[in-house]
Amino acid sequence: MSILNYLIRRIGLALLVILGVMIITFFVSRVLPADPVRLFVGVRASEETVEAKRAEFGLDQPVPVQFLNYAGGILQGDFGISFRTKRPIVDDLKIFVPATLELVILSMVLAIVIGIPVGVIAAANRGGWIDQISRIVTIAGVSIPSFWLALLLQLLFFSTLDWLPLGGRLSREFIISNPIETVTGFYVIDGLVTGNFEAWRNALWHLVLPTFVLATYPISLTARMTRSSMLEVMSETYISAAQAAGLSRREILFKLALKNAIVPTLTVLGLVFAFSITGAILVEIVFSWPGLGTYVTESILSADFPVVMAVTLIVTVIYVAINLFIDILQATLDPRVRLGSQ
Amino acid sequence: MKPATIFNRWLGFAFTRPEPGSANWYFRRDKLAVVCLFAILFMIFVALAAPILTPYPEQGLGDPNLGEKFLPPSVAHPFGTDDLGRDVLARVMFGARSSLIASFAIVSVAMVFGSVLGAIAGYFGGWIDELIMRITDIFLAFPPLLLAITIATVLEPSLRNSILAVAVTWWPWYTRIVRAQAVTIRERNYVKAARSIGVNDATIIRRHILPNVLGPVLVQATLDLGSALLTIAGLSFLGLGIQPPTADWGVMVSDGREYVQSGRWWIGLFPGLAIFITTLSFNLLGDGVQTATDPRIRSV
Repeated sequence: MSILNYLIRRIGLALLVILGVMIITFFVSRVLPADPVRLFVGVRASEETVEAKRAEFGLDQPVPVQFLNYAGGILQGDFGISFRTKRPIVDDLKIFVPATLELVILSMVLAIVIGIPVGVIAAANRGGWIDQISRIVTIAGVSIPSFWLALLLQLLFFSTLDWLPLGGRLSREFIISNPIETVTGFYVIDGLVTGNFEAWRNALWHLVLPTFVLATYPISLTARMTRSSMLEVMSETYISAAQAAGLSRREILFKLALKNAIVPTLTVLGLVFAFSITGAILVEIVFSWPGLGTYVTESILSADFPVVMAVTLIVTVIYVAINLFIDILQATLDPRVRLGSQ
Repeated sequence: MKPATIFNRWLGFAFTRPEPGSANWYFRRDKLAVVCLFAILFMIFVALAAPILTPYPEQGLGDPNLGEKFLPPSVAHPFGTDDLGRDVLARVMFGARSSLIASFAIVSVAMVFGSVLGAIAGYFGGWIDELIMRITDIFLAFPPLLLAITIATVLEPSLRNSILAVAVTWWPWYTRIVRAQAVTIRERNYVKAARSIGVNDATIIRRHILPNVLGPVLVQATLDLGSALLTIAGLSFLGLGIQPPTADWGVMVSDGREYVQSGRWWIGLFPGLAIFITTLSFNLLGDGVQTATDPRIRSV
């Protein structure tokens, strides 16, 4: 299969998935609740108000028409209105999406700079004590409930030592007197760009614990995956040939072996990135991080279906996009992938 | 089955000396995995015997005891007491029930449903295969925790519904594994022979396909128990699982969050530790089983 055919097939599948998710979210938010309009206007509103709102939202039309309106709205960036805040959901998303991505991207950086070297070193010392320790630590890393680890770190670094803040993105005094102006929505960037270094430092302090907690799972999984794919590559003949030719251990490990071992690791990184976006929900709640997770849970509690479904859709699109990107990258790097799918 | 047969098949596996080089032999060399197996058996025992093991069974079931609120750990209450004066140790013991039931139930439901679909897809091939696998792709593309949250939000929060919500996100993995195997088994001579003498498709799938994919499926199931427990604990942490006053580890950690600032660490620490240890045991056990049964990765 040529790379072009592979691309077309893969993108087609991604679009199909997004359509599938849109159908599901549509049914959950519009059709499943007994009466979404009643949820919006409240129990005490009169029958006329309900009917007026129903017409305004287009909910008096047949279900297929409603779906087309819903899908059309989303394509134009209109996710509807929140039952709870009565604001357009898209305005809320502009604030919450960058907050979550900031956490997720930083924890992915940690996964790459810590996870990959740990995996390479463990594989190089297979069966030795470094390998044993890293096996136990990385299995512990994928076994620890993030929300509990977050709680423990709060107890240690906030309640006991008082070194780090309890939660939030910025201390209250900065929010009131010296907030970070929004440029990109990422405080790490905005603080620097606007030259607000005091608040920038404060924002970094707030990032330490949530990033570490969110990164625990990605770091561990990346290290495990790198180790096992390194072991597979190390048993191949070209490595023996390199050893016989007298190349240094360092060159063999990091230059020859890692280059081939990196392909399966990339897949895992993609999966983990996607996983972290939803994993962030639990972490954000513990740290009162004003991101998608906090937004979606508050909406769950108040039965704000349009928000829950909008967030589901956004996260799924990001998830699908990452998987698509990784698959394409893989097919480019490793011809076996696209030839195998023939 | 005669008792002697049962002994040979099941208990014999545990008590007789395994043949060197067999999967059982490799598994037993992995001391850590064996310890984890016993840790899980111990947890199951605690969950079953909780009413006898704790002096406060009625508190474990949810009765408040307002006279003894927020006591730190002591001899009478080794894990302290919570906001309603209940013994945290008793609550942790009773909490083992829902967590263990949920993780085994999720994996079983997903395994049975996913395997049957995978066997059908692999055995029949053609458009049936195409249809089932595209549906599987769609489910795999859905972020699992979020799908579970979505489903749990729409349904009434309860243990059964949260199990269902997670199982819905889990089956596609089994479908993939089983389909890959079924495609090759379909071409084996004994399957062709069965078909040529007129055995119907359902019987062939049941008698020839499914038993032959059991090995890899069970290994995957063992590996999945830990993540199933973490996911269900996350859902109940969000309030979407089992409801109070029934004890549940995720709910208890969530309760503990309110006492971080007042330094009452024991309320959230112990139930979370129980989740961690159980998940860790499941994962190390799964890792041991996988290593022992896969000739390519077990070290000699």
